[in-house]
Amino acid sequence: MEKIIPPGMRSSLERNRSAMNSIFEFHRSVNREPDYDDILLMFYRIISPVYERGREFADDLLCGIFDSVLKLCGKGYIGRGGRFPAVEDLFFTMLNSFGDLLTAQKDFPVVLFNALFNVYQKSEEAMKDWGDKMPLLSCSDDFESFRKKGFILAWRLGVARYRERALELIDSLSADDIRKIFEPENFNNDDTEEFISSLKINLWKNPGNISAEAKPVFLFTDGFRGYGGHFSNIPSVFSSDGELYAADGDAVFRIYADIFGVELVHEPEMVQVKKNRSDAGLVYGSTGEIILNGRSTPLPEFCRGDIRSSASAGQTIAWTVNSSYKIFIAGIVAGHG
Amino acid sequence: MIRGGGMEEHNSLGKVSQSPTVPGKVHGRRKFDIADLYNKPVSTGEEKPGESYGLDEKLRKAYFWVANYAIINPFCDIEYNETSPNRYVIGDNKTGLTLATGQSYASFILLPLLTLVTRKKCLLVGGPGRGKTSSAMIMGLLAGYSMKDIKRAVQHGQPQMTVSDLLGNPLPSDMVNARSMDEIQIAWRRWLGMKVKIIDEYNRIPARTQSALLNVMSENYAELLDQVYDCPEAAWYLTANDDAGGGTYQVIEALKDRIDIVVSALHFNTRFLKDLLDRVERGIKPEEMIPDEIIFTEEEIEQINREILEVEIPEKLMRRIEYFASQFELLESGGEQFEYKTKDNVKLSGESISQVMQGETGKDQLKDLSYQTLNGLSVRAFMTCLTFIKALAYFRGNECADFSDVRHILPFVLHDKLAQNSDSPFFEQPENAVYKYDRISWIRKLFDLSCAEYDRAGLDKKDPVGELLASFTKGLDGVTETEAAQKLQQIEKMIGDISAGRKIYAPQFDDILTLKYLHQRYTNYLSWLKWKK
Repeated sequence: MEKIIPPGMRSSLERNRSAMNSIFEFHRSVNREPDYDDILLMFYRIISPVYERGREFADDLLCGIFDSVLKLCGKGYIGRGGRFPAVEDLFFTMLNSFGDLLTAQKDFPVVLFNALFNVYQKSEEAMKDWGDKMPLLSCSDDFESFRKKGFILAWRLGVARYRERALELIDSLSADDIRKIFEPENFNNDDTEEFISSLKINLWKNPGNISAEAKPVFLFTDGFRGYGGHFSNIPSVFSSDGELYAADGDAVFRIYADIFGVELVHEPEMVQVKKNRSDAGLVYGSTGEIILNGRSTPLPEFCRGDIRSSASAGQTIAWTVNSSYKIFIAGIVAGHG
Repeated sequence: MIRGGGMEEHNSLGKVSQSPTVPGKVHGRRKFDIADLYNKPVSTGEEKPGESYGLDEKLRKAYFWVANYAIINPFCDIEYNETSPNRYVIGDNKTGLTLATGQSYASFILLPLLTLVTRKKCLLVGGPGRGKTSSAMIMGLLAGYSMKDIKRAVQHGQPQMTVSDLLGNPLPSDMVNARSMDEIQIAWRRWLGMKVKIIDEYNRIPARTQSALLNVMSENYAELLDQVYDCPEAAWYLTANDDAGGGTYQVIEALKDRIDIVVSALHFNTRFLKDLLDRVERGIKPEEMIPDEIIFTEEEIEQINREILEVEIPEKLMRRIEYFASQFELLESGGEQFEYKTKDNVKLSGESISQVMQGETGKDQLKDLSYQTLNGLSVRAFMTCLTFIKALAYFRGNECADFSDVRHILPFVLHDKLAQNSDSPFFEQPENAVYKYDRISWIRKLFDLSCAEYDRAGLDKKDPVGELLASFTKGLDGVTETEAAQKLQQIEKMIGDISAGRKIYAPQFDDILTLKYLHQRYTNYLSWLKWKK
């Protein structure tokens, strides 16, 4: 099938022909030989909807987008060599939805792709949720707003490593944003400040229902490398300077966990075990229970077994069992058990 | 070659072979250009069957369809060899026959096809009934026109043809009512707007009408009663019969000069008479069965045009073409001032170039190629040669033109542009007499002789004028006074060396003028530097 070039697009491309050809030659010299038709098609898919709506790109922006396409295609993220079709599909859909940002922000395609990819690392479902919710967050014409809300939403959907940064940005959220991102029950606009404060204080409090009784939260993550996990050997957990880590002898991963989810992030350097005194509790595998803040709670079935290792940091406990490659997490709101 | 077996042939007429025309050829873009995004519709990746190849492959498929099905033309006069071919000597004249070992082509089909995609002007010559008009019509069909449109649009030259017959008529009501020429509307002839224009028997058009035709051919617009019609870029096909049929006119020189390439319709090979009879008996009309896959859209032709221009002519090959082209202009006794020592100067004075050349002594008129022609080459001829050389290389699926491409194209482009000096001693040699009739072979011979001379002089390795020119082309920015003075000395020494040789030959003519030009530029630059101080 063939499509016709929208009016306006031709003159923009003609004007920037020399610059874009030079950009191409640069990428060709540093990356593998690009697929010419593929590059053109990807570029066309991004810019043509804008021109079809009667809008135009500034010259430097157009060149910037072309550069982004070459980068993304060169690394095998989009195009014929694209390794993540789900991400790519959502990428083009969202570029269409955020046309204002596309025509205003030079590196928007790369930023968007990175965001999608990062959430995709959590899960495809989380990425799709992110893609569905972002257009509802009133940030289609403000890049900073897009970036902040996108970050917070990603955290909300389980990209746990974003927590710290998200909490720095969360004050900028309106009541409406909070409602859309966190979907709290019985939430009034007046509750905004309290809600945000609660999130900052309580790693494990369910923001969907602040008034509900806080119960321990049990999560697990990861597994054998052969099945898409991180570990080639059964891992052990440990704590250091108030943070939790998992290691299998080949690599070390920092554990990020909160009410929204858990993630493992590779630590490039060796981490020394340093336990803190104010740990939340201990795990007793043989009795199938866990002591959190001095109170005993039965372990869910999925995380029982012979305890191989355990560690705690703050209100979070992590442990592993001899029969599994998974990392098990329990968290409790401070003062509860 | 034409296959026998009527029904089988009939059924296969409407099909194009899916196997590649050049096995092993990888199709792909030669050079990235963002312009490809706006110069043609963008493919969204959903390919139609049979469209997974490049346009050069489509062009080849079109050629082979025409050669195998449309026209009974079992000739391969454009020969290419991949390995050393077998050669035979045949007849009293000891004519060489080569059995080509590479894919070879019929000029009568290939060159009109290249004309179509380069939008040039092709003259088809030959006796009556040899398929000249048919060949032109097939090109029109390949461009997407219907047979009905083409037949109606062919302009048939005849002695009573007027300008109005050719271009159009003013609306009668406007003629009566108009108060000024601006108000007259013209009903322009439909053929003016077509992208394939066919003029049948153009040498039967009277001189006055030829002038109107010249306007359209050269400037791409038609003018009548102060009204102008801008014609689109088009491929032109003109046919001409010989004079034996009568009713012909002298074609004006300017019109002849606008012809880009001349192709001869060769005789019908009688061994294929049966195939012809088959077609007549079964009513097979290839022009009604052109497969869709080989019809070119306007955008495709434009794209092919662009791709052709990207074909490279290597520098060393370019140098040989330059050397060949420089052989013909010099006529030492044609003027006193150096720049005017040209055949053109003598021609403008009305004198006979041949006689002036005969009066020259001191040079070997047998070996000096310059004495074989009555003129040099125009800029237009150069450009046409280069375009067709690239087009032929493109057709063959190559990114660079090669020596054979040049050797094949030059004779057809220069066929009517290089006027032969039949009084030259060269043609008096018994073995060369045949070149008086066979212009294609003559021009090819000229090129071969030029290349032999080029090799003998070792010009591939030493080209001091070329080096000076290349140095100059880099620009004068940053060139110091000393460097400029050194250049001047170098130029003066080179001219001194040529002067010491006493004789000047045609290729040196352009070299000397180039040196003079460079001397002038460096002199001016030096003056400027001194003034700046």
